[in-house]
Amino acid sequence: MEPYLTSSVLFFWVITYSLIFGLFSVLACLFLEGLSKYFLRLVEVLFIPGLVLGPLLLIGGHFLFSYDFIFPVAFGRTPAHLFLHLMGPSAVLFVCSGLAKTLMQNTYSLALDWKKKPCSAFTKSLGLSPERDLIPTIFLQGLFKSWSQSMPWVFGEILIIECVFNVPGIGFNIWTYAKERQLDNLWQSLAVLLCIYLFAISINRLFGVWLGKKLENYI
Amino acid sequence: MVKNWKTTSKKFTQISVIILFLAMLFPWDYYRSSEINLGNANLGMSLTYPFGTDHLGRDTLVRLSQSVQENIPILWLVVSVAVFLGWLLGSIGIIFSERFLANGRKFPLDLILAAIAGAPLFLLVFVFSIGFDVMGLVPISVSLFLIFLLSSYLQVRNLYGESKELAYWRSQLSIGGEAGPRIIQYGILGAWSQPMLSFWMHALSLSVIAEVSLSYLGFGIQEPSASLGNILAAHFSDYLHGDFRVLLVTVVAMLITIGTPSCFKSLFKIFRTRVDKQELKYSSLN
Repeated sequence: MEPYLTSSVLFFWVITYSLIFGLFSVLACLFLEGLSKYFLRLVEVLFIPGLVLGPLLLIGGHFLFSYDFIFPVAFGRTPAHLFLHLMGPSAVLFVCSGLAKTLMQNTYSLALDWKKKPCSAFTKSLGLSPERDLIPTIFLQGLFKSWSQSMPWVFGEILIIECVFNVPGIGFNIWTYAKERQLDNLWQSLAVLLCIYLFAISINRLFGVWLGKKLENYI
Repeated sequence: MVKNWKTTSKKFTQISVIILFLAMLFPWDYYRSSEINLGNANLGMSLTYPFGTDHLGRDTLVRLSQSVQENIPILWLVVSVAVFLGWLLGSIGIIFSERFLANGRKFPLDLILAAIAGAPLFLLVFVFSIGFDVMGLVPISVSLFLIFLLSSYLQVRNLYGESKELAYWRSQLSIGGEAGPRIIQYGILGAWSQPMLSFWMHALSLSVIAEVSLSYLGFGIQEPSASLGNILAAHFSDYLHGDFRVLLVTVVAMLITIGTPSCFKSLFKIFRTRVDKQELKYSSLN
């Protein structure tokens, strides 16, 4: 797999995790308030550096499940296998970038805010469930807010995660070029990573502004 | 009862973390040898070597203690100076913008600075360190100094941006109050104190993560100098062969070092709440 493609797969899994975890957070915060407080505390503890969680996953995978998360997996593996193999390192990236923590925190505070709003009380007075109506709103708002907060950490930690797991992505390339003092290649790779980062934050900001405009009429 | 138990256990954990951190700062190398001795390589935990020895026969306890003693106080001092200087520059900038710019507008330069500060911190430190010809604590300290100077400057500007819309700020402005006393009294000693303290402590934790990560990648502190990052990197093959001793000890040391600033913050918060309660009690008595 090409380095850019490998890193894109990592980002893909991080986005997938954030969608699943975001939905879980919304449901927990809206319907299981007691449980969400417990999860909030748990996720706060989970904010640990990739340099700690990465080796722990390697060891855990090797000794508990006899599975090696480190690359190269084996000769002759299909792209589909490599695609699935990146689930482990991207889970570490998801947690270590603080995305899990910010998602839970933002969803919790958004759920509290939205429940207090007159529109929720009005929905309740009509005999409807405000919680059910709030799911897509809080889910999207929480996602965009958390992504914008954690994006720098996702792009910063990718270097560490790729080095710990030996994943041949952009971060690993940057590290190799820096070690070998191939400065031209290094600046090129850094520029590519920076462009992807700028693109990601621009898209996120654009959608955030669009959502903000849509929601500004709700009181 | 349950709440009391939870608060007490939390306080106990925070104090324990601080004590363990202070224990790591203890000059163990003064009492124990840290020389290379290949005859003692890879010894397990024992009374003589509580955390065993590394692949070169050096005492792991001494190595861990050296990695904290030699790097962390310098890093924290540099970051603290940068944070305070950033706040000072930010405050001067606010006074300047209130005096000379209409309605305390932001400087156009702030947008450029915000774009730089918004870049991934670790990548910035990495790029800065590569730019230097020497490797070690100096490039890391310089890069962290510049980044946190910028971030703290922008933090004060942002806090000001939020506060200037509030009623008490506007009323003070309308009665002809000066910007300086307003920033100190309402801002730094008032509403901004908690976010500023959080930012400072967060910066200290981040500086440790940056140094450890960079040393792990081989661009930070180099052997024979000790760093938690290069200790982890030197023993990577041990973990893959089932020897977790060094990994576990180093990871715990890292978590303690990273967690110490937030423990200080929490204890300071408890202290501040108590002082506030006492003041309230005395003021109500008077």
